[in-house]
Amino acid sequence: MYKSRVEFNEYDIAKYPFTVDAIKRLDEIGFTLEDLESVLGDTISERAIERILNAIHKKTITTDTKYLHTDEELIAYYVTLMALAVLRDPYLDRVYAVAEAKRAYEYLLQEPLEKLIYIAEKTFSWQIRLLTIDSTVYPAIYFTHFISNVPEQRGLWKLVNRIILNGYTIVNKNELCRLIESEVKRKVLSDIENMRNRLDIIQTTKTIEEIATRIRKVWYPLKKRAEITITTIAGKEHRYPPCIRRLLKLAREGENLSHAARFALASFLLSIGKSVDDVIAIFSTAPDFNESIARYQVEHIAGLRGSRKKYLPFKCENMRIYGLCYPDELCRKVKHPLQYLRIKVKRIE
Amino acid sequence: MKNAERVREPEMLEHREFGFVYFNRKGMERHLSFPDRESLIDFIRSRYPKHAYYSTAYYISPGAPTMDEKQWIGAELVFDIDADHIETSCKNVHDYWRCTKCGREDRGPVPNRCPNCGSDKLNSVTWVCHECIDAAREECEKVVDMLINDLGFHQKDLEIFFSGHRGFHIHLYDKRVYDIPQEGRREIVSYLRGEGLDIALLIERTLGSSIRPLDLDSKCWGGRIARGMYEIILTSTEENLKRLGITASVRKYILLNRSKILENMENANWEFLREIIRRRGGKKSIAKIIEHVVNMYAAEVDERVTIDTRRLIRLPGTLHGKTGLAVVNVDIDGLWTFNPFEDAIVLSDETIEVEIVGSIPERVWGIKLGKASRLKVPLYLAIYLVNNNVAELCRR
Repeated sequence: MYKSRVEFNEYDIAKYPFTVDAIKRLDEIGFTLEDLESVLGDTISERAIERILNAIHKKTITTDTKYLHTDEELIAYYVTLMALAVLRDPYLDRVYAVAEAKRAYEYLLQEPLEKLIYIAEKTFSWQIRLLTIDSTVYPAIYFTHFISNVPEQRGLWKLVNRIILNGYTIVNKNELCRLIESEVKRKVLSDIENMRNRLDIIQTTKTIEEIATRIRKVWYPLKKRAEITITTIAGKEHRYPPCIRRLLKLAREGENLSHAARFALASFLLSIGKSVDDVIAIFSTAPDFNESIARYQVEHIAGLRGSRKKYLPFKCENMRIYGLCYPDELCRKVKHPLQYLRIKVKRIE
Repeated sequence: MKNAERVREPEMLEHREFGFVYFNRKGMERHLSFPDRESLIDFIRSRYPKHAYYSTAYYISPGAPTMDEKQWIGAELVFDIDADHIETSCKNVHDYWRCTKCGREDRGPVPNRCPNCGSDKLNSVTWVCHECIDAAREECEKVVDMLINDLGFHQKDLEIFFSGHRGFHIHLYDKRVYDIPQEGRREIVSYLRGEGLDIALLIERTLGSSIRPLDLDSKCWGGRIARGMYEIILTSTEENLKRLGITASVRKYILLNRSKILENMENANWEFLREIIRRRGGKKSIAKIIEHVVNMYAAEVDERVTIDTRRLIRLPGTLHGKTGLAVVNVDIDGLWTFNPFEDAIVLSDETIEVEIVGSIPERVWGIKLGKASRLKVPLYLAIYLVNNNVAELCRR
């Protein structure tokens, strides 16, 4: 294993509050939930609320540089997780985790390679080796970390297109940042979940409840609108093939879908007669939704732009390649997701 | 060996879900859990199930009725190789199907739908023979090769089991795989099948980067493709290049420069690819060669089994309810000497008389059956014939 000598200071702790170093610092401070009820508590709870609202509205979390080295910033992060645990809303968890991961990604891009490796090894227990090829040193990560964190399954993100040496695949710095970003997202989600599971043991406080109440007020109307949109638009969903049902479920839960996944979902819905506006509405729940980009892309798939070619949904083989195929028994009989729908409709008739 | 001793309970038995199918009723009884081996064996003894399964996943509460309540912790990585999904010529000899709607019947692999009326309600009788097993063995060997040589797993963490019917199950117990999510497992299957290989990217990176994916010594797909190309060029003739779909101009170039190209490949010099690309249909010809190589090395595994992190799989050491053959461990180094029709037979070979009531192949498991309507066969074979609905036991 690569032993990196990296200095991890208070700025790093504020930037990467999910790391083991940050947790160690939190223990040292000895902050308790009762302290949150004191005068100091106000700034911290305001910051916690700001973090969640940032995630909801800006899809990332911005940090004023004046906070960047303070313990309050670290404490605020854990208070935020606590508030999310109390809120018990998996959709909001995901929106928050995506934003937190994006924030980490932006910072990671600025870091030297050693620090990335340090975080990946120490906090996420990744197995990393340094390989020297033609006197250049490359980091290589064990393939399980790679496949568990790729943003999409095509091109160089597919294992089959990579150089693998005894299970390790060479990654460049940019790729490493992107892979750590996914891992951060999963870590934030599991930290919230763990906190939630301990809620009956830990007493929550008045302040945490107040934070939760303020978030609820903003979040619930937005969430309701998104859920209703997807359900009414999707319609007779039980007839759809399992791959499409899965994508709709993920969209409904606020999951960030890969480019191929969005293409698959959009082209399927357009082919069965949904309108461009309906399809855009379904994507509006995505954590990184941008209406004008989404509109451009959906209109492209619908054949209203560019080559004026209407795109058909991927056939099953391509769904498989992009890692989007989750077949059931009926899938054995079809080669295209639209065929599945046809058989289902026929059977019902 | 006593029968009970054959049953090989999974590691962390108390965290596994078990499921059973019985002789006298339909459907599977699931969501069972056992605190220890003894209670599992007692259960099997008292209920004598037709099929026994355990979960590749382990849970906090494996006996809970819903997946949420079970609380998933992790799962082994499992690969299912089944001759049902591999093209073999023996199916034309021993498999048979009949459409329940229009009555059309034929020998050969069972189609998804009736070619006559399109109905998907087909009755079938399928058999397992040495050729089926050999086809599965070949795929099994490819999977093991890639798991060990490409992906860096250790042979000691791998186990192969004969499935009791037409294939093998490969279990991987390495802790590093336990928490791989579904998407990641899907990607491993994709890798084994060589799916999504980007040929343009492969060529581009081989010609334009310091780390070249195409490399005769490499132990991943790049190496496999390089060696496959080498072999094709080494043994190339006008006819077989033509059969692969290589254009005339590229054929001429390869045949005229064969030894030079081979020498270049040995010296990790892939510049000749540029020469080929420059020729008429060059890019397409390279793609044809690579696709051919990928098909040769791709392993046929049932993706549904691997990606399902809540799957139930056959319990090693129990019997397959259709064949009566045991799910036995197969030594990785002894894969090719394993003979299921000897090594997986645990039932008695005492002779018993059966009446043939359906169509049977000439030979089953190496035993010649002949055409008589009453046959004297070993008990273990009688059970297979009866379970396949082509024979009935004669009263003594």
